[in-house]
Amino acid sequence: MKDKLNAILLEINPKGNIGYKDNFLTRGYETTAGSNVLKGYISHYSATVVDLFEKNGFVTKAKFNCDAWAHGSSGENSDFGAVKNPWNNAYTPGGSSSGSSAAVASNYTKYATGTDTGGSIRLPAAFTNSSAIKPTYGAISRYGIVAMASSTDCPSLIAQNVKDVEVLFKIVSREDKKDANTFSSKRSLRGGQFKPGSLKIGLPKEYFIEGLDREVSEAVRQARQVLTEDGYKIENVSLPHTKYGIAVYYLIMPVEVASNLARYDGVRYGQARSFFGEEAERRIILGTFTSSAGYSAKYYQKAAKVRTLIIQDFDQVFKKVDVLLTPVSPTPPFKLGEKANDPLKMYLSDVLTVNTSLAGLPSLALSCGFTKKNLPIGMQFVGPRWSEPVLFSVGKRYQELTDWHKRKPSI
Amino acid sequence: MKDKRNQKLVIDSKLLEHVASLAKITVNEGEVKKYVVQLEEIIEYFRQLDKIDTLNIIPTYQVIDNTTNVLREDVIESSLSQKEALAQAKRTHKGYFLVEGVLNER
Repeated sequence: MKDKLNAILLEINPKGNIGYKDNFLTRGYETTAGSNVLKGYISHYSATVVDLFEKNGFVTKAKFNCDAWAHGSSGENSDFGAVKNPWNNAYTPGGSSSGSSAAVASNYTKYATGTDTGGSIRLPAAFTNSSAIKPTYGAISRYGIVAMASSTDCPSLIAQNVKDVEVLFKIVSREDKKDANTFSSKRSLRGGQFKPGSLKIGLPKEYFIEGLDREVSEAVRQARQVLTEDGYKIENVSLPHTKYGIAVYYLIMPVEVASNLARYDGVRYGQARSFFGEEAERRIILGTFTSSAGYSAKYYQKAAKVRTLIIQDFDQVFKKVDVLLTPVSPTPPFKLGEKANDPLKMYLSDVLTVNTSLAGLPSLALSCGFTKKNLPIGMQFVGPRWSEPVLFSVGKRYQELTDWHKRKPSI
Repeated sequence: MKDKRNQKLVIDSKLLEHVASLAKITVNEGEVKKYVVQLEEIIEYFRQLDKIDTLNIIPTYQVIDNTTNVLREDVIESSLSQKEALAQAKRTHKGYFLVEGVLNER
């Protein structure tokens, strides 16, 4: 079916209450991951996340459009057409979980899943005035979800406010025998009551530098003001390797993509490799090149070392503060077509989200204002691994103090 | 400092075609042209990492907390039936997946 926003690839039950990004397997129904390679593919089992929601009384409503293989920041890489932003149809709702965010923001459903490998749930949340958690790496099972980059892939959750996101998170954040990475010796989530006065929020200066849109910067500054007045302590901090994040991410991720997409041979299911779209081809070729004999040390392994430095930055900062506050995107939503022909420019949309992915940290994205053109602006709270309860506490408190999340697009 | 214009390109069309063939990706002439330019620009962007000293830094390939094996009880659980496993294949033969020939000579 085609809806006005092109968010829905398949409606399963109009009376349902949750929708899944189309890279989540749903038993007996088509799963395409937004790619013609998987068009017509019907799985015989469901993702663990889908099973858990069904066991807890949720009813599947639809499957949502997304960038093919979750590759993209705008939704434009979907083989089934781009998704439109419900706030303004000329703009992208963010990617790669583009259909999920458009469906939640337009109130087609209150709850949806997405995946976040480098920002793919946070950008869509920020661009549509929604709330979303990209959890600690390993907090939610990846079983039955089409793999993109296995060392940063995080099943993620999006809703209309932080409270709802937390409800979803509590249902699906658990160990799963079918994804060994969900087992962790440090798994216990940070507990306790989080009174504003007891929490320190850090502002990493590298996230507020040149290239940051004025309206975005101003909206986050006002959010900071709201939190300060409520008693949160704010401190300026530094993450010196921030600027290398995009280079590191776009070296590591394509290598893992090339490996994961090697399984699509058209023999057991799906179509032949000639059905891959341009972006998947680019990433497969790039990842194959940067990990090939003679080049691996210079590119892939070098990036893995700088990844260590990025993680060490966060470790140092979280000795001083409990949570970081940053914008999600350096700009408000951009227009469909604006970056579609310039891959590097598109990749740079993820500049404020990839580092947390590389470090496996949880990040809660929520809106903090609107531009003069009435387009949403998003911020994110980032914490150490397993600190989701802290992020939810700050996010919920912020939404008690402000009304941005209650604004709805006129459709 | 080297003049940027004199730097040898990292990727040319021959190398790109070779890499694509390793990954079983078929690229036409137009795609080769386009990808060479785009990937060269992206690889040029990676150059900024060259100046970081990573001599004694241990690389990070995963971010999970524990690196011990996770084992399960050795019990038989239900799995896909042969019929289900073959259901999505375009071509099957007597309960097997049918694939292109690998060896050409007898």
